[in-house]
Amino acid sequence: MLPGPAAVGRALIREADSGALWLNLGMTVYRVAVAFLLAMAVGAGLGIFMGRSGLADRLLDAWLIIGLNLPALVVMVLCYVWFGLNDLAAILAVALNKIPLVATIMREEARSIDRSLIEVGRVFRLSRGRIFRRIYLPQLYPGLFASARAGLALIWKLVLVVELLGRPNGVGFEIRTLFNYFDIAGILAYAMAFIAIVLAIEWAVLIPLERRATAWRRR
Amino acid sequence: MRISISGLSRRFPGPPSHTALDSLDLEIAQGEFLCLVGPSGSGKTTLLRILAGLDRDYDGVLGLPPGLRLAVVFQEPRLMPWSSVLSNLLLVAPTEDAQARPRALALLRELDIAGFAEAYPAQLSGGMQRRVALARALFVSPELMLMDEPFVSVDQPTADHLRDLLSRSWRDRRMTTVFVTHDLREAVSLATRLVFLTRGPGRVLLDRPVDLPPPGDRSPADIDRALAELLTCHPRILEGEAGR
Repeated sequence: MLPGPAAVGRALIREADSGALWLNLGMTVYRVAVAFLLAMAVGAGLGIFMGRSGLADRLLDAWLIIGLNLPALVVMVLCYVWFGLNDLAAILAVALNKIPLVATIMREEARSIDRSLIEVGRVFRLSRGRIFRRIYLPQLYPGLFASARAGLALIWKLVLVVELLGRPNGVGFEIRTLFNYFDIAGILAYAMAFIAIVLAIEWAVLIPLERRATAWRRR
Repeated sequence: MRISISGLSRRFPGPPSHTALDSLDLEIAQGEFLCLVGPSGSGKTTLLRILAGLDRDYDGVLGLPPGLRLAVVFQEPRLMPWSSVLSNLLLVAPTEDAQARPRALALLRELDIAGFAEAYPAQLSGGMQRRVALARALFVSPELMLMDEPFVSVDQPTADHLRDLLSRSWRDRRMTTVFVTHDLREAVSLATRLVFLTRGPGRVLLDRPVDLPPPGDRSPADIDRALAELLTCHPRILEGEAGR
Protein backbone atom coordinates (compact mmCIF):
# COMPACT_ATOMS: atom_id res chain seq x y z
CA MET A 1 0.00 0.00 0.00
CA LEU A 2 2.73 2.45 1.01
CA PRO A 3 6.19 2.19 -0.56
CA GLY A 4 9.23 2.74 1.68
CA PRO A 5 11.42 5.85 1.58
CA ALA A 6 13.98 4.08 -0.63
CA ALA A 7 11.39 3.36 -3.34
CA VAL A 8 10.15 6.96 -3.20
CA GLY A 9 13.76 8.17 -3.40
CA ARG A 10 14.43 5.95 -6.47
CA ALA A 11 11.27 7.29 -8.17
CA LEU A 12 12.41 10.84 -7.44
CA ILE A 13 15.84 10.21 -8.99
CA ARG A 14 14.25 8.52 -12.02
CA GLU A 15 11.93 11.50 -12.68
CA ALA A 16 14.75 13.99 -12.09
CA ASP A 17 17.09 12.15 -14.46
CA SER A 18 14.51 12.08 -17.23
CA GLY A 19 13.93 15.84 -16.82
CA ALA A 20 10.17 15.32 -16.28
CA LEU A 21 10.36 16.32 -12.61
CA TRP A 22 11.88 19.73 -13.40
CA LEU A 23 9.48 20.47 -16.26
CA ASN A 24 6.40 19.52 -14.23
CA LEU A 25 7.56 21.28 -11.08
CA GLY A 26 8.45 24.38 -13.10
CA MET A 27 5.02 24.51 -14.77
CA THR A 28 3.20 24.05 -11.47
CA VAL A 29 5.31 26.66 -9.65
CA TYR A 30 4.64 29.09 -12.53
CA ARG A 31 0.85 28.55 -12.27
CA VAL A 32 0.91 28.79 -8.47
CA ALA A 33 2.93 32.03 -8.60
CA VAL A 34 0.72 33.75 -11.19
CA ALA A 35 -2.54 32.61 -9.57
CA PHE A 36 -1.25 33.62 -6.13
CA LEU A 37 -0.22 37.11 -7.22
CA LEU A 38 -3.46 37.62 -9.14
CA ALA A 39 -5.61 36.44 -6.22
CA MET A 40 -3.70 38.55 -3.68
CA ALA A 41 -3.83 41.72 -5.81
CA VAL A 42 -7.51 41.45 -6.79
CA GLY A 43 -8.65 40.03 -3.44
CA ALA A 44 -6.79 42.64 -1.38
CA GLY A 45 -7.98 45.49 -3.62
CA LEU A 46 -11.57 44.28 -3.46
CA GLY A 47 -11.46 43.69 0.30
CA ILE A 48 -9.95 47.13 1.06
CA PHE A 49 -12.51 48.78 -1.24
CA MET A 50 -15.38 46.98 0.52
CA GLY A 51 -13.92 47.78 3.94
CA ARG A 52 -13.73 51.50 3.15
CA SER A 53 -16.97 51.98 1.24
CA GLY A 54 -20.27 51.05 2.88
CA LEU A 55 -22.04 51.18 -0.48
CA ALA A 56 -19.53 48.84 -2.13
CA ASP A 57 -19.82 46.50 0.82
CA ARG A 58 -23.60 46.36 0.56
CA LEU A 59 -23.49 45.85 -3.23
CA LEU A 60 -20.78 43.19 -3.25
CA ASP A 61 -21.38 41.34 0.01
CA ALA A 62 -23.81 38.82 -1.51
CA TRP A 63 -21.36 38.11 -4.36
CA LEU A 64 -18.62 37.53 -1.85
CA ILE A 65 -20.73 34.97 0.01
CA ILE A 66 -21.53 33.24 -3.29
CA GLY A 67 -17.82 33.22 -4.17
CA LEU A 68 -16.90 31.74 -0.80
CA ASN A 69 -19.43 28.94 -1.12
CA LEU A 70 -19.16 28.09 -4.81
CA PRO A 71 -17.50 24.66 -5.15
CA ALA A 72 -13.97 24.98 -6.54
CA LEU A 73 -14.65 22.25 -9.09
CA VAL A 74 -17.59 24.18 -10.61
CA VAL A 75 -15.40 27.27 -11.16
CA MET A 76 -12.66 25.14 -12.74
CA VAL A 77 -15.01 23.37 -15.13
CA LEU A 78 -16.73 26.64 -16.09
CA CYS A 79 -13.39 28.35 -16.78
CA TYR A 80 -12.27 25.47 -19.02
CA VAL A 81 -15.62 25.56 -20.86
CA TRP A 82 -15.56 29.35 -21.33
CA PHE A 83 -11.87 29.95 -22.04
CA GLY A 84 -10.75 26.58 -23.41
CA LEU A 85 -8.19 24.09 -22.09
CA ASN A 86 -5.35 26.57 -21.62
CA ASP A 87 -3.19 28.14 -18.91
CA LEU A 88 -5.29 31.31 -18.78
CA ALA A 89 -8.38 29.28 -17.83
CA ALA A 90 -6.42 27.18 -15.31
CA ILE A 91 -4.85 30.19 -13.57
CA LEU A 92 -8.11 32.16 -13.60
CA ALA A 93 -10.00 29.23 -12.09
CA VAL A 94 -7.52 28.96 -9.23
CA ALA A 95 -7.42 32.72 -8.61
CA LEU A 96 -11.24 32.98 -8.65
CA ASN A 97 -11.42 30.32 -5.97
CA LYS A 98 -9.01 32.21 -3.77
CA ILE A 99 -10.11 35.84 -4.28
CA PRO A 100 -13.21 35.72 -2.00
CA LEU A 101 -11.14 34.43 0.93
CA VAL A 102 -8.48 37.16 0.54
CA ALA A 103 -11.21 39.80 0.11
CA THR A 104 -13.00 38.66 3.28
CA ILE A 105 -9.84 38.83 5.41
CA MET A 106 -8.77 42.19 3.96
CA ARG A 107 -12.25 43.69 4.37
CA GLU A 108 -12.06 43.03 8.11
CA GLU A 109 -8.55 44.53 8.26
CA ALA A 110 -9.67 47.64 6.35
CA ARG A 111 -12.65 48.06 8.72
CA SER A 112 -10.38 48.07 11.74
CA ILE A 113 -8.01 50.77 10.40
CA ASP A 114 -7.18 53.37 13.06
CA ARG A 115 -8.51 56.58 11.49
CA SER A 116 -6.80 58.74 14.11
CA LEU A 117 -3.42 57.75 12.63
CA ILE A 118 -4.63 58.67 9.13
CA GLU A 119 -5.50 62.11 10.54
CA VAL A 120 -1.86 62.52 11.56
CA GLY A 121 -0.89 62.13 7.90
CA ARG A 122 -3.54 64.63 6.84
CA VAL A 123 -2.58 67.38 9.30
CA PHE A 124 1.09 67.07 8.38
CA ARG A 125 0.02 67.42 4.74
CA LEU A 126 1.44 64.10 3.55
CA SER A 127 0.51 63.09 0.00
CA ARG A 128 -2.26 60.52 -0.40
CA GLY A 129 0.29 58.01 -1.71
CA ARG A 130 2.53 58.51 1.31
CA ILE A 131 -0.41 58.17 3.72
CA PHE A 132 -1.39 54.94 1.96
CA ARG A 133 2.13 53.44 1.98
CA ARG A 134 3.35 54.62 5.37
CA ILE A 135 0.21 54.75 7.53
CA TYR A 136 -2.58 52.75 5.87
CA LEU A 137 -0.68 49.77 4.49
CA PRO A 138 1.28 48.87 7.66
CA GLN A 139 -2.05 48.48 9.46
CA LEU A 140 -3.05 45.91 6.82
CA TYR A 141 0.12 43.80 7.11
CA PRO A 142 -1.32 41.25 9.58
CA GLY A 143 -4.24 40.57 7.22
CA LEU A 144 -2.01 40.49 4.15
CA PHE A 145 0.31 37.92 5.70
CA ALA A 146 -2.58 35.83 7.05
CA SER A 147 -4.19 35.71 3.62
CA ALA A 148 -0.85 35.12 1.85
CA ARG A 149 -0.04 32.09 3.99
CA ALA A 150 -3.55 30.64 3.92
CA GLY A 151 -3.64 31.48 0.21
CA LEU A 152 -0.46 29.68 -0.71
CA ALA A 153 -1.61 26.52 1.06
CA LEU A 154 -4.94 26.57 -0.76
CA ILE A 155 -3.64 27.62 -4.17
CA TRP A 156 -1.10 24.89 -4.68
CA LYS A 157 -3.73 22.27 -3.89
CA LEU A 158 -6.13 23.86 -6.38
CA VAL A 159 -3.46 24.13 -9.07
CA LEU A 160 -2.87 20.39 -8.86
CA VAL A 161 -6.60 19.79 -9.42
CA VAL A 162 -6.83 22.11 -12.47
CA GLU A 163 -3.75 20.44 -13.92
CA LEU A 164 -5.27 17.03 -13.35
CA LEU A 165 -8.48 18.14 -15.08
CA GLY A 166 -7.15 19.90 -18.15
CA ARG A 167 -3.42 20.56 -18.55
CA PRO A 168 -0.80 18.49 -20.43
CA ASN A 169 1.94 19.10 -17.85
CA GLY A 170 2.52 20.02 -14.21
CA VAL A 171 2.56 18.00 -11.01
CA GLY A 172 -1.24 17.48 -11.10
CA PHE A 173 -1.09 16.10 -14.66
CA GLU A 174 1.83 13.84 -13.77
CA ILE A 175 0.07 12.49 -10.68
CA ARG A 176 -2.90 11.48 -12.87
CA THR A 177 -0.53 9.72 -15.28
CA LEU A 178 1.19 7.90 -12.44
CA PHE A 179 -2.22 7.02 -10.99
CA ASN A 180 -3.06 5.27 -14.27
CA TYR A 181 -0.05 2.97 -13.61
CA PHE A 182 -0.78 2.71 -9.85
CA ASP A 183 2.73 4.11 -9.33
CA ILE A 184 2.33 5.15 -5.68
CA ALA A 185 6.10 5.73 -5.26
CA GLY A 186 6.05 8.16 -8.20
CA ILE A 187 2.99 9.99 -6.82
CA LEU A 188 4.67 10.35 -3.42
CA ALA A 189 7.92 11.48 -5.07
CA TYR A 190 6.11 14.37 -6.81
CA ALA A 191 4.12 15.22 -3.68
CA MET A 192 7.32 15.32 -1.59
CA ALA A 193 9.17 17.45 -4.15
CA PHE A 194 6.33 19.92 -4.30
CA ILE A 195 5.86 20.08 -0.52
CA ALA A 196 9.60 20.82 -0.25
CA ILE A 197 9.20 23.78 -2.60
CA VAL A 198 6.17 25.15 -0.73
CA LEU A 199 7.98 24.83 2.62
CA ALA A 200 11.03 26.56 1.15
CA ILE A 201 8.85 29.49 -0.02
CA GLU A 202 7.23 29.65 3.43
CA TRP A 203 10.54 29.61 5.32
CA ALA A 204 12.69 31.60 2.92
CA VAL A 205 10.18 34.26 1.86
CA LEU A 206 6.94 34.53 3.84
CA ILE A 207 8.20 34.01 7.41
CA PRO A 208 11.19 36.42 7.11
CA LEU A 209 8.96 39.05 5.45
CA GLU A 210 6.33 38.70 8.15
CA ARG A 211 8.95 38.85 10.91
CA ARG A 212 10.35 42.04 9.44
CA ALA A 213 6.96 43.70 9.02
CA THR A 214 5.78 42.84 12.53
CA ALA A 215 9.09 43.22 14.42
CA TRP A 216 7.62 46.10 16.47
CA ARG A 217 5.05 43.77 18.07
CA ARG A 218 7.75 41.60 19.60
CA ARG A 219 9.69 44.41 21.28
CA MET B 1 1.14 85.79 8.91
CA ARG B 2 -2.22 86.39 10.53
CA ILE B 3 -5.05 83.98 11.13
CA SER B 4 -8.52 85.41 11.10
CA ILE B 5 -11.67 83.61 12.10
CA SER B 6 -14.93 85.36 11.44
CA GLY B 7 -18.49 84.24 12.24
CA LEU B 8 -17.36 80.63 12.61
CA SER B 9 -20.16 78.20 13.45
CA ARG B 10 -20.19 74.45 13.57
CA ARG B 11 -23.36 72.47 14.00
CA PHE B 12 -23.44 68.68 14.35
CA PRO B 13 -26.68 67.36 12.87
CA GLY B 14 -26.90 64.47 15.35
CA PRO B 15 -29.19 63.09 16.58
CA PRO B 16 -29.09 64.71 19.03
CA SER B 17 -28.01 67.79 17.10
CA HIS B 18 -25.90 70.36 18.85
CA THR B 19 -24.00 73.53 18.08
CA ALA B 20 -20.35 73.39 19.10
CA LEU B 21 -19.34 76.87 17.90
CA ASP B 22 -21.60 79.83 17.33
CA SER B 23 -20.42 82.87 15.33
CA LEU B 24 -16.96 82.86 16.81
CA ASP B 25 -14.62 85.71 15.88
CA LEU B 26 -10.90 85.57 16.61
CA GLU B 27 -7.70 87.06 15.20
CA ILE B 28 -4.39 85.37 15.91
CA ALA B 29 -1.18 87.30 15.31
CA GLN B 30 2.13 85.79 14.23
CA GLY B 31 4.24 84.44 17.07
CA GLU B 32 1.47 84.44 19.66
CA PHE B 33 1.12 81.63 22.18
CA LEU B 34 -2.62 81.58 22.53
CA CYS B 35 -4.22 79.35 25.14
CA LEU B 36 -7.81 78.51 24.43
CA VAL B 37 -9.55 77.80 27.73
CA GLY B 38 -13.11 76.70 28.32
CA PRO B 39 -15.31 74.15 30.02
CA SER B 40 -16.09 70.78 28.44
CA GLY B 41 -18.32 71.18 25.41
CA SER B 42 -17.21 74.74 24.68
CA GLY B 43 -15.97 73.74 21.22
CA LYS B 44 -12.21 74.04 21.87
CA THR B 45 -11.32 70.79 20.13
CA THR B 46 -13.81 71.52 17.32
CA LEU B 47 -12.10 74.85 16.67
CA LEU B 48 -8.70 73.17 16.65
CA ARG B 49 -9.89 70.49 14.21
CA ILE B 50 -11.25 73.19 11.90
CA LEU B 51 -7.92 75.07 12.04
CA ALA B 52 -6.10 71.79 11.32
CA GLY B 53 -8.23 71.18 8.22
CA LEU B 54 -9.74 68.00 9.67
CA ASP B 55 -13.25 69.42 9.77
CA ARG B 56 -14.53 71.44 6.82
CA ASP B 57 -18.27 71.37 7.54
CA TYR B 58 -18.37 74.79 9.16
CA ASP B 59 -20.08 78.09 8.38
CA GLY B 60 -18.20 81.38 8.46
CA VAL B 61 -14.84 82.51 7.20
CA LEU B 62 -11.49 81.02 8.14
CA GLY B 63 -8.49 82.96 6.84
CA LEU B 64 -5.33 80.86 6.86
CA PRO B 65 -2.32 81.90 4.76
CA PRO B 66 -1.96 79.52 1.78
CA GLY B 67 0.78 76.88 2.10
CA LEU B 68 0.96 77.40 5.86
CA ARG B 69 3.29 74.88 7.57
CA LEU B 70 1.14 73.26 10.21
CA ALA B 71 1.77 70.82 13.03
CA VAL B 72 -0.65 69.26 15.47
CA VAL B 73 -0.05 67.62 18.83
CA PHE B 74 -3.13 65.62 19.75
CA GLN B 75 -4.40 64.61 23.17
CA GLU B 76 -3.01 61.11 22.54
CA PRO B 77 0.54 60.90 21.09
CA ARG B 78 -0.71 59.14 17.89
CA LEU B 79 2.70 57.75 17.00
CA MET B 80 2.95 55.02 14.37
CA PRO B 81 3.46 51.89 16.52
CA TRP B 82 5.33 50.05 13.73
CA SER B 83 7.90 52.84 13.28
CA SER B 84 10.84 53.73 15.49
CA VAL B 85 11.00 57.14 17.15
CA LEU B 86 13.32 58.40 14.41
CA SER B 87 11.08 57.01 11.63
CA ASN B 88 8.07 58.69 13.23
CA LEU B 89 9.84 62.02 12.77
CA LEU B 90 11.09 61.23 9.26
CA LEU B 91 7.56 60.27 8.22
CA VAL B 92 6.47 63.92 8.27
CA ALA B 93 9.63 65.24 6.57
CA PRO B 94 9.42 66.40 2.95
CA THR B 95 10.58 63.46 0.82
CA GLU B 96 13.27 65.54 -0.91
CA ASP B 97 14.87 66.74 2.36
CA ALA B 98 18.37 65.18 2.32
CA GLN B 99 19.17 66.72 5.72
CA ALA B 100 16.08 65.23 7.37
CA ARG B 101 17.92 62.53 9.31
CA PRO B 102 20.59 64.75 10.93
CA ARG B 103 17.93 67.38 11.66
CA ALA B 104 15.71 64.77 13.31
CA LEU B 105 18.59 63.48 15.43
CA ALA B 106 19.50 67.02 16.48
CA LEU B 107 15.90 67.65 17.53
CA LEU B 108 15.79 64.39 19.50
CA ARG B 109 18.97 65.53 21.28
CA GLU B 110 17.39 68.90 22.03
CA LEU B 111 14.43 67.15 23.67
CA ASP B 112 16.69 64.63 25.51
CA ILE B 113 15.36 61.57 23.68
CA ALA B 114 18.24 60.86 21.27
CA GLY B 115 18.96 57.63 23.17
CA PHE B 116 15.55 56.31 22.14
CA ALA B 117 15.83 57.05 18.40
CA GLU B 118 15.59 53.38 17.45
CA ALA B 119 12.99 52.42 20.09
CA TYR B 120 9.38 51.66 19.18
CA PRO B 121 6.64 53.78 20.80
CA ALA B 122 5.36 50.84 22.87
CA GLN B 123 8.75 50.68 24.60
CA LEU B 124 8.41 54.26 25.85
CA SER B 125 6.53 55.66 28.85
CA GLY B 126 3.52 57.93 28.29
CA GLY B 127 5.61 61.01 29.02
CA MET B 128 8.32 59.96 26.55
CA GLN B 129 5.72 59.27 23.87
CA ARG B 130 4.39 62.80 24.33
CA ARG B 131 7.89 64.16 24.00
CA VAL B 132 8.22 62.30 20.68
CA ALA B 133 4.87 63.73 19.54
CA LEU B 134 6.18 67.21 20.40
CA ALA B 135 9.43 66.48 18.53
CA ARG B 136 7.46 65.32 15.48
CA ALA B 137 5.48 68.56 15.50
CA LEU B 138 8.58 70.74 15.89
CA PHE B 139 10.36 68.76 13.18
CA VAL B 140 8.31 70.35 10.39
CA SER B 141 9.34 73.85 11.64
CA PRO B 142 5.68 74.80 11.90
CA GLU B 143 4.42 78.30 11.37
CA LEU B 144 1.26 77.29 13.20
CA MET B 145 1.33 74.74 16.00
CA LEU B 146 -1.99 73.36 17.25
CA MET B 147 -2.03 71.51 20.56
CA ASP B 148 -5.10 69.80 22.02
CA GLU B 149 -4.59 69.20 25.75
CA PRO B 150 -1.36 67.35 24.97
CA PHE B 151 -0.27 66.82 28.59
CA VAL B 152 -3.64 65.94 30.05
CA SER B 153 -3.06 62.34 31.06
CA VAL B 154 0.52 62.40 32.33
CA ASP B 155 1.60 62.76 35.95
CA GLN B 156 2.27 66.23 37.33
CA PRO B 157 6.13 66.24 37.32
CA THR B 158 6.22 64.85 33.76
CA ALA B 159 3.63 67.40 32.61
CA ASP B 160 5.67 70.22 34.21
CA HIS B 161 8.79 68.99 32.43
CA LEU B 162 6.93 68.79 29.09
CA ARG B 163 5.58 72.32 29.57
CA ASP B 164 9.09 73.50 30.26
CA LEU B 165 10.34 71.84 27.04
CA LEU B 166 7.47 73.40 25.09
CA SER B 167 8.15 76.87 26.51
CA ARG B 168 11.84 76.60 25.63
CA SER B 169 11.01 75.41 22.11
CA TRP B 170 8.55 78.26 21.62
CA ARG B 171 11.05 80.83 22.95
CA ASP B 172 13.65 79.60 20.43
CA ARG B 173 11.28 79.40 17.46
CA ARG B 174 8.37 81.77 18.14
CA MET B 175 5.92 79.71 16.12
CA THR B 176 2.30 80.79 16.39
CA THR B 177 0.72 78.36 18.84
CA VAL B 178 -2.87 77.59 19.73
CA PHE B 179 -2.97 75.45 22.86
CA VAL B 180 -6.25 74.02 24.09
CA THR B 181 -6.59 73.35 27.81
CA HIS B 182 -9.07 73.46 30.67
CA ASP B 183 -6.25 73.81 33.21
CA LEU B 184 -6.02 77.49 34.11
CA ARG B 185 -2.60 77.20 35.74
CA GLU B 186 -1.21 75.50 32.62
CA ALA B 187 -2.70 78.25 30.46
CA VAL B 188 -1.20 81.06 32.58
CA SER B 189 2.21 79.40 32.70
CA LEU B 190 2.40 78.96 28.90
CA ALA B 191 0.40 81.65 27.12
CA THR B 192 1.09 85.13 25.89
CA ARG B 193 -2.65 85.53 25.38
CA LEU B 194 -5.65 83.84 26.97
CA VAL B 195 -8.93 83.32 25.17
CA PHE B 196 -11.80 81.93 27.23
CA LEU B 197 -14.81 80.34 25.57
CA THR B 198 -18.39 80.24 26.83
CA ARG B 199 -20.02 76.98 27.84
CA GLY B 200 -21.28 75.46 24.55
CA PRO B 201 -22.04 76.66 21.98
CA GLY B 202 -18.59 78.25 22.06
CA ARG B 203 -18.11 81.98 21.66
CA VAL B 204 -15.28 84.18 22.89
CA LEU B 205 -16.05 85.10 26.50
CA LEU B 206 -12.86 86.86 27.49
CA ASP B 207 -9.72 87.69 25.53
CA ARG B 208 -6.74 89.11 27.42
CA PRO B 209 -2.95 89.22 27.12
CA VAL B 210 -0.76 87.70 29.82
CA ASP B 211 1.38 90.45 31.31
CA LEU B 212 4.22 88.28 32.48
CA PRO B 213 7.78 87.56 31.32
CA PRO B 214 7.89 85.33 28.21
CA PRO B 215 6.89 81.66 28.67
CA GLY B 216 9.86 79.73 30.01
CA ASP B 217 11.08 82.72 32.06
CA ARG B 218 8.10 82.80 34.43
CA SER B 219 8.60 81.95 38.06
CA PRO B 220 5.96 80.01 40.03
CA ALA B 221 5.33 83.25 41.97
CA ASP B 222 4.61 85.14 38.70
CA ILE B 223 2.15 82.45 37.70
CA ASP B 224 0.47 82.37 41.14
CA ARG B 225 0.03 86.15 41.11
CA ALA B 226 -1.46 86.23 37.59
CA LEU B 227 -3.73 83.33 38.42
CA ALA B 228 -4.98 84.98 41.63
CA GLU B 229 -5.60 88.23 39.79
CA LEU B 230 -7.58 86.48 37.07
CA LEU B 231 -9.67 84.46 39.51
CA THR B 232 -10.39 87.51 41.63
CA CYS B 233 -11.86 89.32 38.64
CA HIS B 234 -13.52 86.25 37.13
CA PRO B 235 -14.05 83.56 39.79
CA ARG B 236 -16.34 81.48 37.53
CA ILE B 237 -14.28 81.83 34.35
CA LEU B 238 -13.61 78.09 34.08
CA GLU B 239 -17.35 77.45 34.11
CA GLY B 240 -17.72 79.72 31.10
CA GLU B 241 -18.90 82.84 32.96
CA ALA B 242 -17.03 86.15 33.06
CA GLY B 243 -17.19 88.74 35.86
CA ARG B 244 -17.90 88.29 39.53
